[in-house]
Amino acid sequence: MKRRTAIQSIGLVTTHALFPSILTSFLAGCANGSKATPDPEPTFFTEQEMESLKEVIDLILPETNTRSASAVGTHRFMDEVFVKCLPLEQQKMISEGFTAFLPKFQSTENKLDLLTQIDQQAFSGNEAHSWFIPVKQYAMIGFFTSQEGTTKASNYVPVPGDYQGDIPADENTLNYGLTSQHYYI
Amino acid sequence: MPGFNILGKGSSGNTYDAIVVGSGLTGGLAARELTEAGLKVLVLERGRMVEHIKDYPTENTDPWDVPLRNLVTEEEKKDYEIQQSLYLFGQDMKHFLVKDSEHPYEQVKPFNWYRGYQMGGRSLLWAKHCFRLSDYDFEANQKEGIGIDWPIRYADIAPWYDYVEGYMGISGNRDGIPQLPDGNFLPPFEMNVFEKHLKKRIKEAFAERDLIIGRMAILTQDHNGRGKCRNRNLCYRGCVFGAPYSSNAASLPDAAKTGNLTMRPFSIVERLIYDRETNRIKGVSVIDTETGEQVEFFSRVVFLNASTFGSTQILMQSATPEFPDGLANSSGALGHYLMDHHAYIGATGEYSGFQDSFYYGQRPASVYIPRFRNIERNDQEYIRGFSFENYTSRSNWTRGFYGPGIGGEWKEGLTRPGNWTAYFEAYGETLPEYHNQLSLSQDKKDKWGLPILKVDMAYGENEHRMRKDMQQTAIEMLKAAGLEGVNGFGGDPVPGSVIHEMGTARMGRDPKTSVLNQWNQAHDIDNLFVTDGSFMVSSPPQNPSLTYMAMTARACDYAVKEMKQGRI
Repeated sequence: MKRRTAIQSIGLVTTHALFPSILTSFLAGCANGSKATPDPEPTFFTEQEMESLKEVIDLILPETNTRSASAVGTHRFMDEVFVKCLPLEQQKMISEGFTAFLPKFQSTENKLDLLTQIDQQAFSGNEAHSWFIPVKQYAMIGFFTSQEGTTKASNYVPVPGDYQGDIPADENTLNYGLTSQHYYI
Repeated sequence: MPGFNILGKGSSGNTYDAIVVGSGLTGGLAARELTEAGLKVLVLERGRMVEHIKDYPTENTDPWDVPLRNLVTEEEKKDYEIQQSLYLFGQDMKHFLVKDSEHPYEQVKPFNWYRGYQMGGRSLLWAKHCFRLSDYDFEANQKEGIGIDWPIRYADIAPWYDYVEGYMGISGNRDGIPQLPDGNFLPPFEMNVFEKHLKKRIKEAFAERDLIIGRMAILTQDHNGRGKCRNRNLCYRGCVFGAPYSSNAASLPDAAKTGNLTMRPFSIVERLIYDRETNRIKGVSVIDTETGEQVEFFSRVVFLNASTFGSTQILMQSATPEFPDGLANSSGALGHYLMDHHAYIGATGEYSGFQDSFYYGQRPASVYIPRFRNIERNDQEYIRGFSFENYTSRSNWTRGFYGPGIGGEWKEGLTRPGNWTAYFEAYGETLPEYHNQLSLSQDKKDKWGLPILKVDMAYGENEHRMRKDMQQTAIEMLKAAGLEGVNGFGGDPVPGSVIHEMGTARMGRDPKTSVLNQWNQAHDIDNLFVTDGSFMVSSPPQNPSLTYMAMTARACDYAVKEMKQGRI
């Protein structure tokens, strides 16, 4: 098994000197967050597809104790990184899969059920739904590394100070945010 | 950095007591040692200036403000073809690595060469594990008839380990393990509850295996004007506290305080200037990468600290009629016996206990298992051994990447710490082989007209046999500790990937078979010293940088004494 696969198999986040990590900043002025800027023109998705993408990622990561994926701009992040950071063949796979999926998604009554099935099948190796895996993974990155995901869905301690190897935890304890942003996908 | 001089574009005409080529870990330390001894020192660095704190542009960047959330673009994957495979690579640190497209090298077989061309070099990025070698290591070549004997023993280097550990600030525990001698340590980082469990269970199952806290060049208390670690675990962006040791945070500013240091960035050493009359190096010829001009500098002594590959390349480029195969290479050993460790093999697993325990802070230290194979006698299907570098944590939201799940409950679940996870990775020794080598390309040149380096290295039979045991022992230890979902990992490693390039200008007693003597001084030329990883005679599995540092301090001390005696 390759190292990457091994890391994936246990959800281990990162390796070497980077391990374990917390997102950081310690100077004032770092917490100003996302600024209100007008949405750029989509590049990977069409305007219409972006509306559906927002629905999809909000079913994956809906509003809970924290805001939904689209409320923190995850769809814009995905639109940008799909074009810039994915190999062309993967872009094509996602694009074709998403386009083929849309008519059914738009016409169905129960979108959550449909996505739940696709999610199950995609992770069972059904190639017709392979497009869903990167969509979900990049939606997760987009949300959990946003300011909301880092500071609200995670315990953000920019400068921890002295390390302690054994502190109490219970079911309400939040994990630390990701510091060294290296994603094993 | 008060007190230092930076030579600007095209300036020349200077003569120094010593020239240090390279500003990484060993170059920085050489500069510090030599300036403290009163020498006027010029440090030549091929890359740009990087000043402590001032030039750490991403240090305080919040994750949501990191461009592309640190993902790498397809275009960057081309420009940084090799560098982008580094585990650290991302938008938050790529400025500390070269673009491969601008700095090509030839690979006879795949070899990953990771490079940071800037003041401080890779001391900004090193993993900071600091482990001593022992006489088990220094005696092995001689006992087994491999390569040549080390010209030193532990007693020769021990006081210098003490010295550099004291200067650098190495945190660690005195574990009393003969094959991993204790050092002059700052207090250790604390183990978490899961690591204490692993330590206990592994020791119960395998008496010869000790899981210990890593020994790290990261301060656990304020030390020599640097601040202690705040457990952010972002050392590689640069650290305002100066907790991780780097040339930028420690040796170069300390050298500057003496008033004896001059640094010249943007300066590629194209060759050393050899004087046949006196059989000495007179100085160095430099290409100023900003102006393209050729500039010469002169000194009584030259220290090569340009990294294993860089120093060997400079010696090869400096060939003369007297030394047609490379300067100071009457032995013919220059370029040969290249080594890197082999790693990226081990096992992972998870543990469902200790759900009510967590840690506070992101400790940058790993836990470590020193070599336990073939210590007193060889009883394996291979010789030498390996050590483990291990990481533990409670899994975070990224565990959601790998299986089904959507919706609110799933999302909330991912915000909580998951099971404890362990990642055990073995680092194995590589035997020195003549055919693992560097040479200069016959036909390809870089943009400054210098021949590019050609790398030819493959792991051998002994390494491949060892790797099976590396994975097997990882699996058996995790299982013995009660972990679930234990999986071995590891494939064919690409040499260079561990970034522990060693050898190619090895030291030894015999000038006929080695380039350097026991003082890191060239056998052939008295005022030439090489103290980066190129001097290594074998590659014990301990991370090697601490040994380079100890040998650098030792060589500087020797050189200064020789200069005072008028012999250099």
